[in-house]
Amino acid sequence: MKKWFLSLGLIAIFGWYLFLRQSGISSAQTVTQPQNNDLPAPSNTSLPPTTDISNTPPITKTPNPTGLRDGTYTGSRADALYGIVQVSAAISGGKLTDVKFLSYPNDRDNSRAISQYAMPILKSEAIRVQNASVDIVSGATLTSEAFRESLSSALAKAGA
Amino acid sequence: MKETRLIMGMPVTIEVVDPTSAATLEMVFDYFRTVDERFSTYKSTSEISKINRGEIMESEYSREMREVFALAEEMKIRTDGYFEIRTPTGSYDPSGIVKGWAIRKAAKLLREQGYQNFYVEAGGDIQTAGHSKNGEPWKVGIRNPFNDTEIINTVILSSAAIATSGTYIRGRHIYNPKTGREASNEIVSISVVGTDIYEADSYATAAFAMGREGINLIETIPGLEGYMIDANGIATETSGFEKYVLESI
Repeated sequence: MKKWFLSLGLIAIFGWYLFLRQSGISSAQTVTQPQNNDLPAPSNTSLPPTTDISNTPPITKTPNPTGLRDGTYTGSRADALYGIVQVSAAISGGKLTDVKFLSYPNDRDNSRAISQYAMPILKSEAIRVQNASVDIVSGATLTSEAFRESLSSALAKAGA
Repeated sequence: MKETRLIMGMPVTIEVVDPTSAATLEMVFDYFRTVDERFSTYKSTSEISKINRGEIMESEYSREMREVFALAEEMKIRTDGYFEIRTPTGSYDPSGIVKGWAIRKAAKLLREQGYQNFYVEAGGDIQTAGHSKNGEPWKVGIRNPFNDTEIINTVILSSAAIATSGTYIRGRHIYNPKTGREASNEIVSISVVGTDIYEADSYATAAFAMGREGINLIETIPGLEGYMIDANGIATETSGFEKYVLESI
């Protein structure tokens, strides 16, 4: 009887783990793209769920549903057109939660982070429907599936 | 003359204001078709699919493939890895860069033929040149991400470009065409305006991947302006965006 309960418990835990992997998809990763060879979401069609556990990369220490390891990852210093670019990305709970520019072009303070209020306060307002007659319309359409979200090198380092 | 074809899984529209022929437009559409034949991960016969199956060595890549890979590498460095065409499974998917790159090349094809007033659009991303048939800069509406029959802003482009990255919204539910499931996202759309469609497109992609912080990325890039809409219908724009906006009377 005990063995039976134990087995049932293990199956339940396994099922719950699969459920978490299926649903725990970072918004930074999987928006937009219907292409079948997309980003690190564990529910990617290339890996049947039943083999997910055995295919988990051995280097992944924190089993976040997304497969991303928590932590802060510093990207390389890159010589861009206008200056040096370097970012640091924070992963928490398997999601990209913050990106800081450690160095970026223009004459701004090198330590300024994107998320800090020191950035200019950008104007916000509710959208309103317009009646302007236009020549062309720009918008993400259902058929723009060819467009894929780019991965960050920090996500790649985090185990994406 | 204006024509639309369905290529690369999306509507591709070309309008040339200067006198032209159907053959000219078809030549540009044919260019998009060759891009699709080469870069579509949906086509098993494409060069990219062959590369991903290990059937082609790097030394055998076509010139166009090499160019796209090199650009992807450059964009990866510029965004410190936000732009990455290699997927976690190891295969390459350059579609995030190919659309803007192809539109840019198509516009170049038209300019080389001497055309000065036209636009090239693929899936909502647009490169304009000169003016419309009214003799005025091109008026481009930004689609309401919550109702695709409506426009919520209008920009005026004179030989400029706009790229919009976003998700498709049905009602109040955000529909992810890839997974077929609802996904909750911080932002639903970000439009980037600049002189070059390739730049606008690549950064729109990177910015969208960043969620709400994406608009700040665009703010830091000289020459690009952005307009981001969040899941609550609140739009945030970069500090220089207003210069593109049509003043509504």
